[in-house]
Amino acid sequence: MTTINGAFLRPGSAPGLRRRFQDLWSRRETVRYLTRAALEAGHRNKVLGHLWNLLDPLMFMLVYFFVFGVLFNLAEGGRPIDYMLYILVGVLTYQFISATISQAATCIRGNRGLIHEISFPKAVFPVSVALARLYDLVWGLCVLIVILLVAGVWPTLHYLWLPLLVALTLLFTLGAAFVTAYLGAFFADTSNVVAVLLRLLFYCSPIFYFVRDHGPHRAMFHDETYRFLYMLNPIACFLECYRDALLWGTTPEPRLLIYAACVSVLGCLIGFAIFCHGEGKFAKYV
Amino acid sequence: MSDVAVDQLAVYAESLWIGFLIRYHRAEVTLRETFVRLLDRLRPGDARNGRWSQKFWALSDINLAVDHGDVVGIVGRNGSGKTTLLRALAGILGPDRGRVIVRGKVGCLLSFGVGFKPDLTGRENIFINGSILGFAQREIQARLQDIIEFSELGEFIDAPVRAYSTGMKGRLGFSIAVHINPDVLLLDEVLTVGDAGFRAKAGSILDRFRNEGKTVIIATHSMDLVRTKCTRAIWLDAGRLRLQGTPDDVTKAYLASTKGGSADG
Repeated sequence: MTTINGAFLRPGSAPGLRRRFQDLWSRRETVRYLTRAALEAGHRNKVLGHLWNLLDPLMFMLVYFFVFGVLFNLAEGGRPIDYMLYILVGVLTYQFISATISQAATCIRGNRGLIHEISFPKAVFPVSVALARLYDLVWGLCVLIVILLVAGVWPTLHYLWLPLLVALTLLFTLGAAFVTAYLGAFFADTSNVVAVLLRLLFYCSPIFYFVRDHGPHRAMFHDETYRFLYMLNPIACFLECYRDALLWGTTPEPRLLIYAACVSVLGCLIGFAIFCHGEGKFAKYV
Repeated sequence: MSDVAVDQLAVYAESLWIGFLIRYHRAEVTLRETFVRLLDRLRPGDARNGRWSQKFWALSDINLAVDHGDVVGIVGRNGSGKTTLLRALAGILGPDRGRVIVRGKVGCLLSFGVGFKPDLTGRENIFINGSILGFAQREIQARLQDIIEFSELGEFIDAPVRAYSTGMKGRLGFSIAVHINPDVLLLDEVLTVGDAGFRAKAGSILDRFRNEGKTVIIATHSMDLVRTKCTRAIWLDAGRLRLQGTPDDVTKAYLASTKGGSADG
């Protein structure tokens, strides 16, 4: 549907970001349907249904525990369950970010039918991809908290940081998803390139190794310059903040939290602007 | 045309140009290839420079003014720009030059329901498509029964769309497009879907739209449809507007030209 009440559609006079955002907000019901469709399409044919998505990170956690904890002996000194939980925080967050980004790479081409048929804000696609994966993340965090209880780590008031941390993770991931969706619309091999970059991101984030000395565990490096450069990776900041709040019962380090918040908000805005810049041309390219 | 007159029109296109890049080497643009191309550009005088793609004008200098209540038939051979024109009017393709003004809500069905999500049921797809067309859940709910009845899908409405035939998808898509009560309805060859009974029903919908002062623009190869249902017709030829006028004049001229050359329709 296009409602252009007396307004002229001239080439070059694209609507501003605020207007784009209002358009997107007015389609929130579409986003809800698409999110639900994405969730149902992922579960409908599977025997274990929604359970599968909860088992997924747990099984990855066990794999990484076996490889890095047992074979590489990174878990040495501490309780195995603590190292498992350490990995699980990383796996849940990384899975959310990587699944969203890799699905965003194909979300515009995958909906080329609709894009050729109707004019509407295309941002509904990356947003609904992110929200569907957010659902998995939130359930995963619930499972994590249950395991924490079983492992004898009692909840603290620092859990209250979680909503903020999840919201920031979502914003950051959305920004990246907008950019990948934009590239994916124009370049057919985006998902291959993105897969390689995500693999790099996995090893550059503290998912199975430590960046700070913690109990019996030693950090990977002790050079402060290295650490500074390393922590420029927002995912590293997020992971450390999650662990502060969930595993170690402390306030997330303010420096990391503020940096992560700035990167997330800016990243989301810039990503949205880039996406909107190309939106009008999607129908010609996909 | 003065702006006062333009304000009265339902659909207005002024010197509309839409171009595509025709690519020679690969069907799809890839990051890898773009990278190679950038390297190529650094070497001056390379033989391949400038031969990667060529601009093709799918629509050149189209001027079109449609009043409320007009039913306009677009005729023309395959590749003459009929679908591109409809997509430009629907706002799917932005104009490269010129401007397009459409007043009111646009309902469009430019393809046989290819936008449906195959794993979801017809009913779920009605809600998705309806919401993309800008309708709230309760508005769709209110029209749901009419949409299902008109589409003649019966109990298949709760089957996944991947089990539908092309005709069934087309019927459902058409049913959604007309029931959202658009002011301007854009149709691309869709009246050829469905059996004779459905076509008759769809034809009567067109009459109703015309009587209610709504605007319909149809791209079609059916000269009968143009002659019986349309109030005006335009003939597109290689992206240019060759002729516009009464349905009889335009179809006659168009048929005469296709008989002369290598006809395809």
